[in-house]
Amino acid sequence: MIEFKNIEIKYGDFVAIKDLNLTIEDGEFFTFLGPSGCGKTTTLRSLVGFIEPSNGQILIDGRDVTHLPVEKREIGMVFQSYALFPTMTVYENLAFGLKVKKLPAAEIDKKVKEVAKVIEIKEEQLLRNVSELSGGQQQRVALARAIVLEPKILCLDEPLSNLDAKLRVGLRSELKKLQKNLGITTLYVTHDQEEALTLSDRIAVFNNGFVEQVDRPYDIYNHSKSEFVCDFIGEINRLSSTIIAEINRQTGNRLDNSKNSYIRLERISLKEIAGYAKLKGVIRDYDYNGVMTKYRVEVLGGEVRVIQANDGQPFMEIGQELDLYMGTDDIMQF
Amino acid sequence: MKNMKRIVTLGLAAAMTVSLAGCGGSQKTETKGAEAAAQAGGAEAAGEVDKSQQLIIYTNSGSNGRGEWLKEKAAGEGYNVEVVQIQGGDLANRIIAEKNNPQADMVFGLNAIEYEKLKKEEVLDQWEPTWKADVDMTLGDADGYYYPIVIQPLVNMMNADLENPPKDYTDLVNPEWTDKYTILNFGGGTGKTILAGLLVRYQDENGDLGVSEEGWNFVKSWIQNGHMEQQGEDNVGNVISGDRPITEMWGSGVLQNQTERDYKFQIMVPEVGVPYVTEQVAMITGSEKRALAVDFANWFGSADVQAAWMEQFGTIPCQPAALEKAPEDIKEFVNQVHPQDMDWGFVAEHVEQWVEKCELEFLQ
Amino acid sequence: MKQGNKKHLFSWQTLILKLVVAWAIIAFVVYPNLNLLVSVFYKNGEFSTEVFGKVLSSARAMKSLRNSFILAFTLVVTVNIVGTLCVLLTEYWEIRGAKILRLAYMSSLIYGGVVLVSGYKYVYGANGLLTQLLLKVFPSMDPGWFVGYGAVVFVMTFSCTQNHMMFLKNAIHGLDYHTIEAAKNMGASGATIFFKIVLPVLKPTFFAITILTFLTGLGAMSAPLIVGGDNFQTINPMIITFAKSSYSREVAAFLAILLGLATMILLSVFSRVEKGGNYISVSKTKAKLRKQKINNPALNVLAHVVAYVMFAIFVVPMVLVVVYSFCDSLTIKTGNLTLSSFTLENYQKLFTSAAAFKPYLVSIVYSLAAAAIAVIAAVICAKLVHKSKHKYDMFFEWGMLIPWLLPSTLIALGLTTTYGERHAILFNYVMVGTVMLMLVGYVVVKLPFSYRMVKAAFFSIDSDLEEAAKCMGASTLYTMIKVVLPVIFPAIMSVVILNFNGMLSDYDLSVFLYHPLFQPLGIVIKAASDESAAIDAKAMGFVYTVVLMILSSIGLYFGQGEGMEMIKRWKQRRLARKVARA
Repeated sequence: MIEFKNIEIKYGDFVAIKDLNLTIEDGEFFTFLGPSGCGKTTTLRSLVGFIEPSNGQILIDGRDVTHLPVEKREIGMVFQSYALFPTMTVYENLAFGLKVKKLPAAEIDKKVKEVAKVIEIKEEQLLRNVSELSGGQQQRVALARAIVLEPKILCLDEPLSNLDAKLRVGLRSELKKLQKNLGITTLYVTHDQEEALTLSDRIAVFNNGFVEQVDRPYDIYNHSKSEFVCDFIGEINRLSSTIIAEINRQTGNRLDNSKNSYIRLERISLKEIAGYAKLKGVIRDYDYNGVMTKYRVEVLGGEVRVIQANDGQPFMEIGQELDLYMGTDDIMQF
Repeated sequence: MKNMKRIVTLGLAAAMTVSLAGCGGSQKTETKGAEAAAQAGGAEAAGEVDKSQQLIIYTNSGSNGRGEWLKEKAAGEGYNVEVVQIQGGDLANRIIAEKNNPQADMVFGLNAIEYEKLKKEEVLDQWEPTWKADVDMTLGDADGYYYPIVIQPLVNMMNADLENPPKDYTDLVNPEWTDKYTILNFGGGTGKTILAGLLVRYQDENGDLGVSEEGWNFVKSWIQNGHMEQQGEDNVGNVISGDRPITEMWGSGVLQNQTERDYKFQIMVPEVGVPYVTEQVAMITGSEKRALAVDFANWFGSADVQAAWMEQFGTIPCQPAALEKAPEDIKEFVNQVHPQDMDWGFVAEHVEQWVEKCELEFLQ
Repeated sequence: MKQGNKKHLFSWQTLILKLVVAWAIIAFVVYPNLNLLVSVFYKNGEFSTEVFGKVLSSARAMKSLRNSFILAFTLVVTVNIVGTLCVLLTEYWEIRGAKILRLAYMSSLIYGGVVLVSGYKYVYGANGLLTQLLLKVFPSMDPGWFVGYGAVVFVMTFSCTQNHMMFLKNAIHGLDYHTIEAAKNMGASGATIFFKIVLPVLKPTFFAITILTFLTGLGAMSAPLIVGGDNFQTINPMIITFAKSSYSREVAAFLAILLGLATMILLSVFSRVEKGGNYISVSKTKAKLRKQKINNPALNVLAHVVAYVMFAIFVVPMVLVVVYSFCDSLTIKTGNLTLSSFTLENYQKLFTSAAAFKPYLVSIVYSLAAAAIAVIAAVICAKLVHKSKHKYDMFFEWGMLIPWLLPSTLIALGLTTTYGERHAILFNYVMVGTVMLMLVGYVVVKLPFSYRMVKAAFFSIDSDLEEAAKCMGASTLYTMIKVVLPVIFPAIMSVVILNFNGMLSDYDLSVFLYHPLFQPLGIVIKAASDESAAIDAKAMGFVYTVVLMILSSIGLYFGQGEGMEMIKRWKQRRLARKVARA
């Protein structure tokens, strides 16, 4: 179990993290999500030990590690840049931490070859220089290098951000599988909300040095606790007060029109549902991506985006009129 | 713990080796020269010395195989010597610098000016060679610190065909000889001593640095009318080709160049004579092998060895018995020149100031 | 409790290391020089100002000082132009025969000093090849034309490009080729790309090299002495002359202080300018540099012409030095080459006499040891200063740079005058007369250069690498040795080799410091060209130099490129065997 207690981190006069409290359970895949500069990497680095908090405590299994040097913490880390040692071969990179631990050569060799198999690095690649590998392979080596040490905690700082989209998705699921098999408590830093939602057991959404919400992906997405979270996670429509007034008129004034109101794209229905408000609109534009089509619809002078699965329903053209149905339960207000 | 050890080792590598590794050497300095010097007086007891001990000898006159020759010759007599060749300008500085940790037992070569400096710095001991009575002691030291072995007359040598050659340095300042003569650098022994030889002619208690105004004016025009030697130029070649038909040269250099270039130079001999630089032998304070060193000096300064030295390297020995055996060209050269009467004590006292003044004010 | 202890122990180690390094800097760099300056200016308990008047009223001193600065500023421009051209012609543009050109341009790395200038004199001097050729065409020209400011600048411009060939070459290979492609894609011309994209990236390297060049110009020695003539003598030879006379030492010290002050001003200006404009590459994936074709045919021809003219300028003097080393001594002195001049005697003498061989051994051992120690010290100090939290850690930086402020002659004098006596700071150890003295001197003069270059290398390291190693449990020291040092190893090797080559034939420093029984090469070579040396000894100076060139080339081979590659391949094979066995 990892506990952050009242953590404050300062860079000179700038307070990067204010009074942070978090608890991460054993075996959990926990993600720090947020835009760049929000303090998620800073928090991760304080756990690993690169940054010493100016206030507060970090506990691992009840033991205070706040001031313990990095090399004593036994936390594995994968860097955004991979930080593979350019002067060493793949093999030497993998064996580095084991050599530090002064394991016998035979055991090092065994472990290196094992991890290479798990992470699908071919034996002939082991003797290559790391600079000769492709990005995806480098990423595998970086991951293997961290897990070969069997750390209790694994920290990943935007590990997939340098890869192309397809590779990213592929490695993402591998990573998830690996984490489940090994049962390592994993902390994952990303600004990619899709990655966070797919991988995580729980997510902490960071904003400006604060944690806005800690929850399971489902709740983060569907029950965002703040305007920031709902805006940052996924795509969302902000509804104008004209639309809210119209919805209130049709459904009986259940929404507070003095607040900001949001609705997820996929929660807007094109089919009539009982109890939902019905709004007329005109299609102004659309994005087609094969599986889905996202329509931009003009409704009461404002724009509302709506998404439809391409599962045989008729495709609509620009200028076509249509009806949108919204349920008051799906509208989040802040 | 192991890590710490490594850090320390690494850190110390840069600095500590320096002080640790050399520790053995410092012990040597403990015995000071005073008693050793006292014993050295009775160096006659030649038979008692242990010749297997190594003598370290400093000289500025050991290049061109002289060092090796001497080492070999000495070995034949049972001596174990190491001859260290050090350039003239640096040799005295080094002996002074090593005052507290002397490395050498004796020194030969140099000249009276340098020996006066060493004497003043108290790095030489008094002693007496067996051949003291044979040599002209006006060339040596009255106080018994250094004794002459080789004479080096410093002259201007000239193109053989030069018509109406100058008779004295005073002639050189005439426009006729503008840029026709090479002056050797004042940093070297020859250049410095010839300069001193000019200035002592104008000795004046009230003058700047002991030299009259007339003297300074003369030296200034002598320097500015001539050509200062430049590194890498062939000044002897220029004499032969006539491009710059006059250059300063030391005695054995004249003889050597005559042989090597197969050429016969004219020599300028002023009436007052030319400065004779005399190479000397002296004992360095702090040596623990004084008796052996004196024994070696007795052998080295003897007429026989000096004659052999002369034959091999064209030097002009102080030992009259050795000079008698000299080949024709040496004899001829020696007969041509005669020594200028110079107050070496006065020169030693002022020469560095003179050089500095010339370097700063007269050189262009 | 346990954790607290560990932390305490860690800083304690650092503290000891700092104390030891600080002691070494004070004992070997600061104290001797301070002691010398004090002893020179305080006479009979009084501060003597007499020397100010003496020097300031000396027309020659002032002129030489002015010449030194003129030379330094000129060289900053000319050396940067020629050095950059050297690198561009061999590494950036597509020029035919780049490999051969590169070898020629690197010749300034393997020899220098008196012999190099003599080599140029054999081409441009009164008896030189080119002069003789020109005389046939223009019989009325002055055969002694190659003298003065122009000649000095010419010789030094071509002989001081070694830093470009070492460091600028590396920097240009560190360029991200994508940035060039991007610029091309946006329609930039070759010239725009070069001035707007390539040059700015190389700026930090140019700064470092410019400082080195300026200092070389200020400290110029052989070139002005040999080809400067009456009108272009510089200050350093004067300082050395005066330093050797105990009476005139104050003049030397005062002149050196003037130079030192100028250097200090320059260094601080540079570090200020440098701070403003440094940046690191933001490229995530770097592409390897590909050579640029010069599209304009006229310019292409021009580039080839320039390349091969420079080739000749570099190679001919070196070839002549080698040729003359096979000549009898009279030929060397007069420069008149005839068929009967050739002889093998010189080399025979070298290889048959043990005495002739020992100086090589002495110089190799001293230079290698000093080169390595200086770099180790530089690494330690750079590490202490790099990412340092305390202001006073800058002491280490200044300590390392101090030797740049003083001519090496004065540094040597400081060591001999100070440690010829007993001083508490060195535990009353008299260092003069021991073999350690010269090692200390060699190390001290090589500190600033080593530090400057190692520091630059440190700043180029991705800090993620260190953090990754620490994550895996490696201590700071282990990280340093296994991760950081291997990454900067090529840079470190370059520095070691340059240090090594630079000290191999040193004279100015050695003459004050060497142990009488272990004479280094520089002393022996100088003795061979001494005024009192027999003429045939001068031939030996050339022979020594040619062998030196070979030694330096071997050093270069191992420090750069192929030798390193060889070692790397060997290591990889060894690992392969190990893995295969297991």
